[in-house]
Amino acid sequence: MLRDPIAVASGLFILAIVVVAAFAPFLAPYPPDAGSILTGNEGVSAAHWLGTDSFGRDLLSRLIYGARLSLLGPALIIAISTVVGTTLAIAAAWFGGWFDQVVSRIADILFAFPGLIFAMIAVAMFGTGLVAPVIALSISYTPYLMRVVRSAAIRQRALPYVSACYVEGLPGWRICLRHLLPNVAAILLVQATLSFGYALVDLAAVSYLGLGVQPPTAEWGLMVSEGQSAILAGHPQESLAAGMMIILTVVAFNLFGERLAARQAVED
Amino acid sequence: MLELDALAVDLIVQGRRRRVIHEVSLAVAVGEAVGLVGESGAGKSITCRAVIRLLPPSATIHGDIRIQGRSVLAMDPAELRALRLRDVAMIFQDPRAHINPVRTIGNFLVEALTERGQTRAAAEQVVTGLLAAVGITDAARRMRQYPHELSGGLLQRVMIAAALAIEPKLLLADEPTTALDVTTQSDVMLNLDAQRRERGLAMLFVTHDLELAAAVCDRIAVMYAGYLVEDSPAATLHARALHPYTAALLASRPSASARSKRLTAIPGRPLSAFEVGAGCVFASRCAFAQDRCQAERPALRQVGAGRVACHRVEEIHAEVSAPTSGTAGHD
Amino acid sequence: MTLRLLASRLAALAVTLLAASIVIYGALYLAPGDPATLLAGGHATPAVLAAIARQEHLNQPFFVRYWDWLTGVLHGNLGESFLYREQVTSLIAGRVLNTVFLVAYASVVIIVGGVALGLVAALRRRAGVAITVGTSIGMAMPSFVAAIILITIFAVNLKWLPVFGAGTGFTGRLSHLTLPAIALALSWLAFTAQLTRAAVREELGREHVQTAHSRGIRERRVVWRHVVRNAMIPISTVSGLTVAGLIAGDVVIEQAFSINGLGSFLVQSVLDKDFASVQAVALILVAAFVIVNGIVDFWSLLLDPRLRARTV
Repeated sequence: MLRDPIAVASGLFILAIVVVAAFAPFLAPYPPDAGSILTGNEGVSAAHWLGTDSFGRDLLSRLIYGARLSLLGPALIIAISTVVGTTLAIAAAWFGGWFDQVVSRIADILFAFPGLIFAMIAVAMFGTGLVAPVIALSISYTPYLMRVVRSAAIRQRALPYVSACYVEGLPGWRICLRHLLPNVAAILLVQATLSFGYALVDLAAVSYLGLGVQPPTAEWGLMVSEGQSAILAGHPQESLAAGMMIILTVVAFNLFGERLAARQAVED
Repeated sequence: MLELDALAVDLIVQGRRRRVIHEVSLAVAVGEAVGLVGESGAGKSITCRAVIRLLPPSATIHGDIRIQGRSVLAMDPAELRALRLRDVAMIFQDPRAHINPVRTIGNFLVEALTERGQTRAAAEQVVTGLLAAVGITDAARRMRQYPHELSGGLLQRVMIAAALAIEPKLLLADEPTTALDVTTQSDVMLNLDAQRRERGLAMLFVTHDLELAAAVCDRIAVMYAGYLVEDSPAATLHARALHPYTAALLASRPSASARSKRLTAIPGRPLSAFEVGAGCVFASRCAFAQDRCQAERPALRQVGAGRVACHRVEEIHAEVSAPTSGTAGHD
Repeated sequence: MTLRLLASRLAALAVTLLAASIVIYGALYLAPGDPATLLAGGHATPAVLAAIARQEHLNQPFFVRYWDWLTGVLHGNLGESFLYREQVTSLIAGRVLNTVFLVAYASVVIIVGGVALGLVAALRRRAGVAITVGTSIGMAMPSFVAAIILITIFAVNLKWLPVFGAGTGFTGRLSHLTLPAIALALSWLAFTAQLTRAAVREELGREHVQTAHSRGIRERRVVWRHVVRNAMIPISTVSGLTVAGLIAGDVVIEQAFSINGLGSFLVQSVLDKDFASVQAVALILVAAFVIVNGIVDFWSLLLDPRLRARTV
């Protein structure tokens, strides 16, 4: 894996932005909400490496601070959907029968809702902010993860060594935890990595629409929408910079996930 | 009818260019059936495909291939297409993989004919007659069906019918019955043989089954590791194989009639064309190999009714005709 | 046999729609606060709340309420927006056409552009590399970022096409909705192109294509009749996924380009807390998604005769 240039490059990029986000207060040249309209919409300069937004706030700093929420949101979504999805999937594969049927039917219904619509309904119910969309998207993403893990788990469960463990008297939950889970972990990891990009975009879209993170908080999706009116005045830097960060991060996660998947296919 | 003249084929194997067929010279006369026999990897299938240049784009062909005097290698794309459309038909090994699964049998059968300009109706008439000839009843219904609705044996008959439909002069059959189960194999083979003889078609019949080739073909050519090692009339080859490899092949087949304590196998494993060194290709596994065999590659030469590539062929057969039990001509 | 298949697919579709509608309607009861307050948009006097409760028969049990709502929707009554004091139906009447136009326009771009690019990439080596790189970038671009880039280029610099609003009439909409359609279609076009390229290349290597070549069929016919036709199967199956993306993307694009459509109305309703409208529009979008998915599903069944035998 370490010899794969694409995997290394994308992995390093991911590591870099996580570090930047974590250490934002130490790395950002200015606080994210400091500025005045007098210095609004300035271009690249020595004082402001990426220029300023329409309120005079330093773009680079806002991008750095924005990384925190822009990465935290999808991370939570993936974490929740992975834990819930994997648990349901392995349980469904293990118990089969009516449990599997019920879980699959519920998944089918959830598949009918595009993630963004689900998030919007949640915001209508619970108000704007990150909480409602994150929970809604977590629910929305769970069936996708569950489906992938479930088929892998079913394949594992059918292998002879599982029946051997069962006959030896190992309790079901231990077989699941010690044997089924590690074997589906690889597929799980790939799926989670690839889904991160989608989650990031979905959540950024929610903020873009004004339904998620609220100003003056810094977040990439929100920055794209905040900078939009400035484009017509000839200052596209805020929207473009934030948009670029989103694209780069998504590309990095997609590439890394693809390399993981390729490596796994070889091992199979 | 067909002449392979010092045919050599290079393919890209694992990123490198390798010669997989070495100097194969073979002729098939009009109406004659020639069997091309050998183990897996011997190069028989590639030789067969080379005749109509059905090789991957990265392959290079050396030597010449002539059909009715015309060089196939020198043909431009239009002439090659015409050759495939009118003169030469190929029957493939696995009919299920080789027939488009989303189009009907009828479509498959008439495609070559409509490509030549015939109307759909006329083509369907021809094809219906052919389906009867290959033993498929209820042709009209079958034509409307899809490949997944037919058994392997039926599909192969369809493939044969499609080949016969263009009224070719030469048939190229690449292990046509290998993918079928044993009982279906003989049915389909009998039918193919009958149809061929009836129409007087020449055939190049690729198979790993020496017994089958002997039953159906007039002459048999044996390949090993990309080289042609023997080319004899079927009857004489069967009675007395010239090349040690052919003899060993014949001997290693379990016989239903004679009882023996154990099966004789040829020691070692079949080599691929690019694994052979200098000297005779079979030397590493040959019971009669001597120093000269390891050093110098024997050329294909006329010995009696057939051609053989072996330095010691006369000696070996003199030895074997002597009173001690031999491995050759066991049957 | 195909009819039986159609019937069973329709039944499954209906069940899914029903379940989804229960979820959407149930949101009203799952949300914090009582239904009357939610419907009133959060700022209403006790008198208004009482009037709403009476009008909507909110004292009745959930399933009775749900059933009333559903039958109303099926008869064309999407409920009343208490915020605007208008029937939801009339609120969205003018907007539906814009949304349909935009999504249809984007779909055409995706299918035609994606398949064409994919075919070129599969059949021509050098162009293939360039297209692969281009589509990888395109796939990573969220629709609103694509929108921003297009707006930057066309509104500020080039001024070739109008950037905001939906326009009127057919030609008006065509010119106004071109940039939005492209922004909406971009990532899915890239995805379709890559998918088409992979499917076509896989099909090119198949044995039945060799058979066609061995019989002397001309190249163009082999490509269309055997390669592309067969490759369409996996392409169609996966295309169902793009529909979900289109519906979600449509909401964002309408907002970005200030288009007066269902999507932007949904955003507005959510911000205004106009619950009745949110429910109605969400139902329409989800129904559209489920139905189109069902059609695509059935279409792939038609394309591949092998599936018909298996799935009855």
